Amino acid sequence: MTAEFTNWSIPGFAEQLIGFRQPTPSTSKEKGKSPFRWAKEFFAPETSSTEEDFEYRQDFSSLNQAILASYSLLLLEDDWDGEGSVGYTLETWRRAATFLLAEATAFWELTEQNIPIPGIQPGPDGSIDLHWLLGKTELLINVPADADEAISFYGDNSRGQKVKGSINANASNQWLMMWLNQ
Amino acid sequence: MADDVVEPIDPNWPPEDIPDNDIIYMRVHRQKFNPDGTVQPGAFQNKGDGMSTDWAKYAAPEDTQRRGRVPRDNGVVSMVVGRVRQIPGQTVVHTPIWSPKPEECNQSHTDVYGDKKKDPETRVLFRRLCRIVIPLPPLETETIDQFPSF
Repeated sequence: MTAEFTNWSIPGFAEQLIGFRQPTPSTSKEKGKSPFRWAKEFFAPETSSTEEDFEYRQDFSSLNQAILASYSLLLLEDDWDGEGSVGYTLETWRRAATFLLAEATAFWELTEQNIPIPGIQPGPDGSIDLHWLLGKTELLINVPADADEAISFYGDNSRGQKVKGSINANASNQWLMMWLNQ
Repeated sequence: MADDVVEPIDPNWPPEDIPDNDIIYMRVHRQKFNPDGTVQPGAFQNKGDGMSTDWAKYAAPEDTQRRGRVPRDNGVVSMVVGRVRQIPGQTVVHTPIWSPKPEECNQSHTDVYGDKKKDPETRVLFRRLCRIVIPLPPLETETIDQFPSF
């Protein structure tokens, strides 16, 4: 069972788990992009099929696995560390996962590249941290437990650039991933 | 003094000023370590008013680890007080704990006050300045001894 889970690489499973929906193939085509070739090579490199045989998917399998692994945060109940730390709720985890997949999708739409996989980690007071440490570039995004609070972030790099502030999860924030991947 | 007589604990430990060059220790739970052994930013958060640490003047890293509910689930990091004070909004205050229960007394207890939640930069800076002095102990593996030997 463990081996099956480890090897499970069904793209989109995490999206289904959190109810996230990626753009449809037609949307992508309208933008003039052709992810078909990549999808074909990824899912069935040895077969010859027509474009209609494949559902358009970005390569989110690694991200999906990271999100699925982070589901274990929900096992941490109040006082899980013996220091009084607050546990994590499904709602907070969903917001973090949805935000991450939205960022990944938007970044793919712009660049046809995947975002680096972040650490999805326990944050303060039931919040969830998304943490990237790429050489000397670091970005920390905090998804608060309170849905009414804004998502906050801080990042800096070896060029002396700093980004800091709060963002609306429902707005377009792909510039943050652009900054991270520059 | 007979061996079975416990030395009374002075309930009047006065709070002292902690010099900038001194060291404080903090427990870090297993869940807040990355697989590569580094510490996550989430390790740095207040419990109540402040973040609990131990002043090295009165504690060794092992003492800090031992105070955890499950010591083997914790590593210990050190921080230089002066560098902590350089993080915007953070103050380091000696707050010794006295209790009638000897096991709850802690003369080394020190709080790091200041918000660590609203501004992620604060936790990034904490992560960078800390040094691991007791790495996370490996998980204890169950030994299979219920099978007969052949």
